[in-house]
Amino acid sequence: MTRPRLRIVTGKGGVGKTTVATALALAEAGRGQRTLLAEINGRDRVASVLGIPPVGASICQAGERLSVVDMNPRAAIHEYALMVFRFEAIVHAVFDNRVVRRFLALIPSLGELVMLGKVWFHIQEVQDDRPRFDVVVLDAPSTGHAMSMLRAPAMVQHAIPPGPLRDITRDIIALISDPERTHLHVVTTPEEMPVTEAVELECAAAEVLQMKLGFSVINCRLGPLSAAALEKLEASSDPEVRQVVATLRQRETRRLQGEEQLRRLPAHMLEAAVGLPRLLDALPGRAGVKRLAELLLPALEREEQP
Amino acid sequence: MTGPFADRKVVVAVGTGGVGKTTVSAALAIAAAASGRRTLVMTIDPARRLAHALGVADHGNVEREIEPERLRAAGIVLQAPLWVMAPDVKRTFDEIVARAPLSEEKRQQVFNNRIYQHFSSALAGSHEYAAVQKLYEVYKSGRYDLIVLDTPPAQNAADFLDAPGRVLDFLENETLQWLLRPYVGNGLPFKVLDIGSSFFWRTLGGMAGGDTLRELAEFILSFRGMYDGFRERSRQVSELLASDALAFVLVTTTSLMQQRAMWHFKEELRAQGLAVRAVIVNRVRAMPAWDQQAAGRAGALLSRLDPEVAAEVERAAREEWVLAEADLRAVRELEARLGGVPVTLIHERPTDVHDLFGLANVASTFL
Repeated sequence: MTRPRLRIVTGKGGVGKTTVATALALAEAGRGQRTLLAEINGRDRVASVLGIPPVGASICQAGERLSVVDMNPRAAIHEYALMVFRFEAIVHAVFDNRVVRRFLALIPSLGELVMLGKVWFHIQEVQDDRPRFDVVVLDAPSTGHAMSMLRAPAMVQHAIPPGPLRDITRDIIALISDPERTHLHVVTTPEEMPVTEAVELECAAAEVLQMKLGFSVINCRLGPLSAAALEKLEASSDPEVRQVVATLRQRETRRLQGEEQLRRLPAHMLEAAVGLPRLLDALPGRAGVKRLAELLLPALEREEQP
Repeated sequence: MTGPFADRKVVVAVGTGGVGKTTVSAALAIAAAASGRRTLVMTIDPARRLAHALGVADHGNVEREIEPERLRAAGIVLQAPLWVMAPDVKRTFDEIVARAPLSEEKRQQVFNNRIYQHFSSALAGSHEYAAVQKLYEVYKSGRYDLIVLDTPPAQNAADFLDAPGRVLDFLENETLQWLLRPYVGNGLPFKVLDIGSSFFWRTLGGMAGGDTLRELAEFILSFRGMYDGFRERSRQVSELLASDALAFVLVTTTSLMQQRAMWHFKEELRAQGLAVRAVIVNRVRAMPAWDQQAAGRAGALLSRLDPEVAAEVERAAREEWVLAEADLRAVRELEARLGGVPVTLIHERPTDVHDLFGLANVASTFL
């Protein structure tokens, strides 16, 4: 099996997409892939996870074989225009005009489309006779926005007459619907609403988006505690230890409810999912994300088995 | 319901995705109705089970009353009626177009425009636009003592605040009007138009394709007859947003990312001269009643039996303690930094809030 060129990470807001996307990128870079981690309107989320200075709209180095970029629609449109017209003066005169900027901001899906176009561009970009990046990890918006972003090319394809914009959409659609090249990774936590959105995404991946679902990630998954051990502690003469047990029993209740929610995931999705522990620090830092990356590595290796 | 909202007519809940804004808004509304205020909660894109619980799963854009019996069963006695509505973007736009002083021919032209049909709900800012339009409409109706508006999840408060102005500014922009003329004709021979204009269109057309621009131009120009209405409405909405009748409440969690987003929102609101009246911190873990050392004693008790199990139990216990303690610290820091802004904590529930029982339970926090 060939390694995918694009990994799109999405899920409900607040489940830890950025942390997971960063860990995936570190895992890829760690196994020798030249990796680009792309976030969208990130406001330094990746930078604070990694503990590096703020990342802007131009690609910068964040580690060995790891580059990061924080895309935004305006910069992406400017960049696209520059590619089409090749002259900064023209692009500046036309696209940095306030009226035009507003005009472009209103063209439906243009921002999303052009950002996907940027991802596509970097995937086929060649430097020194080889691809500049082996893989791009896209920290996509949360479920609803990600869906409209991934549907943008097909929508534009249907809604607009032939022209250069439609040509780009064709290439993007070919890339994201190619199961060899693009995997969609759904991140969830063991909670009802995140699981519901994961189920919706799984459904949409096949029916609406026509994308291949890569392994999913269950973030903040708790491990079971031995019931015998809790019983033994309950018999302790230390009253505080008995209170510890009460707290742990609540944790077990929460865990079991979470696992029950997870069983709503399609069996194939749950089986292939990678569980990650909750990191205790407010910001995982590079060391924390590295730990998660190590836990993701076996899943990357499993992908290559036929 | 006392405190920061007692004298307000509109409460706008702002926050990023995943903080539980919809739950908090609905709970606030339940609490208000329970304390005797006729209340409407406007919720955008609720999760499916919550939408079912609230009864707005398939009825967008109209107000529906929640039967008081259903809440009584959940332990809440309403002293005033509670209504719920999910604003629907496309229908709101359709209503605006239907009401506009346009000729029948023009009206059909708008409805038939491909861009309007496909994208009126995808236009940048259109969700926010529809939400504030609806808000203003129900506010003016005077039917409610309190309206709670659950805003679309946003990265920037400006997405919401500027939406009415942005859509309007764009539609009525004179430069744009002038630029658009070659696409739809204005009775003038094309040549009379300035070189600058054709340069503009050649460049943009090169990027997007000329026909796309023509359809977009048609769409924008067909709104021409509606500008006066739009402008007046937008002015009124801005007035409402800045008035004392309305309060902004920030919804957040203890997570560092959500806290950062919250400060960003607060700063943006302040820059526009809008004050935050309250902060609600959702899903705060309760501090355990035991001291952290008890976790070590528990581990020691088990270590003779099975060191591995002992380590696991001890780690789990310490984790619970550390997480709760981190929440406590985050809340204290938040309160200190906020100065006098009241902070309401909603403690973590063992299960997701997805029905009226869950909502009633959260609502009791505000009562």
